[in-house]
Amino acid sequence: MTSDNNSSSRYFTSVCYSADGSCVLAGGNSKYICIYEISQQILVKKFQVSFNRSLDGILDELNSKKLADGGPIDVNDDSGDEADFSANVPGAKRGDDGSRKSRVEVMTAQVAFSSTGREWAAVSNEGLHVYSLDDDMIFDPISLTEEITPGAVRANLRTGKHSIALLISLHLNEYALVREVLEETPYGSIPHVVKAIGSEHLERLMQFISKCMLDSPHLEFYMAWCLEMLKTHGLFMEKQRGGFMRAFRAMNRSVQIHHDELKRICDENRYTLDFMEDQTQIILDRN
Amino acid sequence: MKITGTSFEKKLKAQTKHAKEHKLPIKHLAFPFISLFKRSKMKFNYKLHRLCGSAYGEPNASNTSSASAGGNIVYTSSGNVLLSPVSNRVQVVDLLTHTVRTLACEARSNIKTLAISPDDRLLLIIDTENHAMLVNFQRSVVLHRFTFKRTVRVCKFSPCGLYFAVSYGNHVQVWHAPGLRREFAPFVLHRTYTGLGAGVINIEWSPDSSVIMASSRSGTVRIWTIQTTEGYEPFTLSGHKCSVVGAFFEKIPPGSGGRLRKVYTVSSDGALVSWACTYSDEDDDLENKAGLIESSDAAVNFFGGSVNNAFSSQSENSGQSNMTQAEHLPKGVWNVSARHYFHQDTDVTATNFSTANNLLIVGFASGIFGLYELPSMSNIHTLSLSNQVIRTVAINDTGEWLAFGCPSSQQLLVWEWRSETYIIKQRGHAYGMRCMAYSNDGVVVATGGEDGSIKLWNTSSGFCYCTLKSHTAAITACVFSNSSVVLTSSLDGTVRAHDLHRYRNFRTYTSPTPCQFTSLAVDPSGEVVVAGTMDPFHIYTWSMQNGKLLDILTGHVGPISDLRFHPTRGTLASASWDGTVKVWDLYKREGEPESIKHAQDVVCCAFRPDGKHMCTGTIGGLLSIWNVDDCKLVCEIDGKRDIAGGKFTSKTICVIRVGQNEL
Repeated sequence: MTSDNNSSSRYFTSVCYSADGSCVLAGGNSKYICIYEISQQILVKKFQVSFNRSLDGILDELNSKKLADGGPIDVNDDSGDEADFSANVPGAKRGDDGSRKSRVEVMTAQVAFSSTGREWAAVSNEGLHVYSLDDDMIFDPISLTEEITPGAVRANLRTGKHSIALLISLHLNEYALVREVLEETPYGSIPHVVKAIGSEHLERLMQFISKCMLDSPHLEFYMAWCLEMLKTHGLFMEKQRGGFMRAFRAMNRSVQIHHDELKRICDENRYTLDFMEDQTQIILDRN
Repeated sequence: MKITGTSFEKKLKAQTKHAKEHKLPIKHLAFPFISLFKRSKMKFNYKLHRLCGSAYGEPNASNTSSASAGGNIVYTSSGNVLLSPVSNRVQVVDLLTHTVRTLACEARSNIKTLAISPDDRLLLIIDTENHAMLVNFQRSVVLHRFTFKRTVRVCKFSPCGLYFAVSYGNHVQVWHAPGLRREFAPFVLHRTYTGLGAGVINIEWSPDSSVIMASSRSGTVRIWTIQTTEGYEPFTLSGHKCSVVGAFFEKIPPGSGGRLRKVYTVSSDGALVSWACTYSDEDDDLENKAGLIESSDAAVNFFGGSVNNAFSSQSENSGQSNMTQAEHLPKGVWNVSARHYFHQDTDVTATNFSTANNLLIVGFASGIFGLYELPSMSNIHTLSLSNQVIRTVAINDTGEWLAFGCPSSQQLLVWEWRSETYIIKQRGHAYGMRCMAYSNDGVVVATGGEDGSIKLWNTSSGFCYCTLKSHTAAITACVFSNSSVVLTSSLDGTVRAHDLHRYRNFRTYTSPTPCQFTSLAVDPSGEVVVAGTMDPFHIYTWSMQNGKLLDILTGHVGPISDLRFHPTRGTLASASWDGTVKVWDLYKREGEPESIKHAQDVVCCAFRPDGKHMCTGTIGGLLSIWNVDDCKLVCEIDGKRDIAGGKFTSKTICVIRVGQNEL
């Protein structure tokens, strides 16, 4: 065994801390990417970048049928009957002598967490793999009691107790429910509802608001939510800056995306209006 | 009944105490990691969301051999969603919302061909090892896996959705299309159709799914009926000198008795032959008859209004539905009716036909495509997309968006021919990607490639919106300084800063003697740029503002592998193959850097976001966590066994030889 092919001679070539600093993401010259928890030094999760057998280094056991004296036999090498449309060198009779098939090794050149903490990306030979957290399907409630049910949320909504409904939905921690409560809350009562939110729910609510805002047409409504959150709890969040960093970034990102989109349209409209104004001026002058 | 986090903790504490008293291993406890998850609040159910890089074909393929790589691209029935195979995954490109996502399922090897059922429910993916995967397209769940014993080049669902046909070496096989429910053996063979001399490269279904036509590399096209039709001998159309790239049925005009009248075949040498079928049971004066029907229709319309019209069309429909297209075929004889030539001087590599609009698209090896209207064969327009082979073309049902795949540049193009604009124009890094960086707000990702180009990707849509080509060699590292400045180091001996407002290179940093930069960092305030090199083991520092070389840090005795700035202070950590990590204080005049020794070569390092800890990785697979203040080791994680796995076929030959030499 050479060290090159020894499956245990793999190592990490890129590490990255998660946004809260509790975990590291590490990838290297292997098909695996690992997430470790630092304080306990345990492997939390392992991802396999690719299962593509056209790459090298995917299989743990090679098939001896495909290995010969001179190297690996590519059983799928049907380049002879596959139409070769690439231009040959003039005068070449045996096809392209320089052409050859080589397999690309699987590896991860670089890994990085996004600052929002909701996704991370890895550069491999196949491109940029973006892994993101898709936790809509996961039921992850906090401090659950018998009274905390989706029914209770809706009942409170009907009776106009928006802040209680929001608190219960935050306890249930389900995206669809929180969104429903957020959108049912009247615009005028947002400041009061925000005041009722305790510090333990702030980060969660901010994440929810930024997520809802991303694909919602109610831009001003959600901006009002953001503004009220920052106005009411800004000082507290400033003190606990580290814990809220992820939420801040997520919020900033959604606002930024909307800003970019709107800016383009507004600019275009403004230029069109300017143009029309100029044109009318010209026409008026001519007359 | 109230279960809270604190009660969990109490329970856990009690359990731990109990375990300590009885010397039980901790891992047997009920909630061993509850404290961990409470503390980190992090979730780990990350799923592959998207694969950025190439839009079509195989990333990292060398440019000459990959001309035949890549599968076919298909539109879904709505015509707004495009499926494009990228190595062993399928990219789903939504042309209306302009977003791209990657299907969760993964083929065993590179995808050769894919087909989607007419109702968009089933997706059939066949890879280069002839291993087929049946996928529920909406949920992207694999329903069944199957291996074909011979080479499969194309597959196609029938328009009725009851069958799918695959090319099977020299044969064509028709299988019953499975349902969505999971079955033990969902694939049931209907029949195998034989008679072609060489590999089948194209399959086409007739509009009512009763007739199938396949073209081969030998230049012949054969027409079979799906069910056995009495008195029908499969007909062979031979009129080409080269392999037939495409064969298509013409749209059946209403009032022609629902019979197949015309077939167009396109061969790779640039010839188009149109074949007409004459039926012996029809009168010679078909034209007159059709004219008569038309005129009588017109008269009825004129006198009777719409009621009679509806009646006549109904009777016509009922007349059509009595016999399938296959049942008419035994009385038909196919003859060449016209020949046309494309006069393009290169091979035809891909072709497709929009039946509803009678539009023929032809892609050539030179990267030119032509759009023709049939049967007049008038050229609507011709355009040169690139100088790369066009491997596959597709047209949506409404006939407005043409999609092209060029595997050598990993390019996917969607062209709206009426307005002559690109809907999508995406290509990957040639020879693959090497480094990436997230912008500070997480909206943009910058990637650097082996080809020296920098691409900027929008993380919400997954599309590349800008390509910067200022470097002349592979890019080794890229970092964001703030959200509008991206810096890259390259093997061409420069570090360049790019402005993301005007998308241009606004500053270039070089060393006094040319050297290849392999690592790069920028300080948190965005004033100092540092880069490390492989050959002289120096670290160069420049002023970001004026591009002047400030200092050359020497002291390492091995190549610099990684550079990182402390997130809050002005200190710089440099990892090197000499087995040390040096922590430099850039703003102090004198003083040696702090050196942290490792047992093996250090290849990577990273600071914790709060700057208190630093993580380094060595070639032994060991991750070490260091306290930044006193440079003491906090803990070590041996990841060697976690990352181990996978063997290389290309290196086994080396193993055998080494073994022989030693013997």
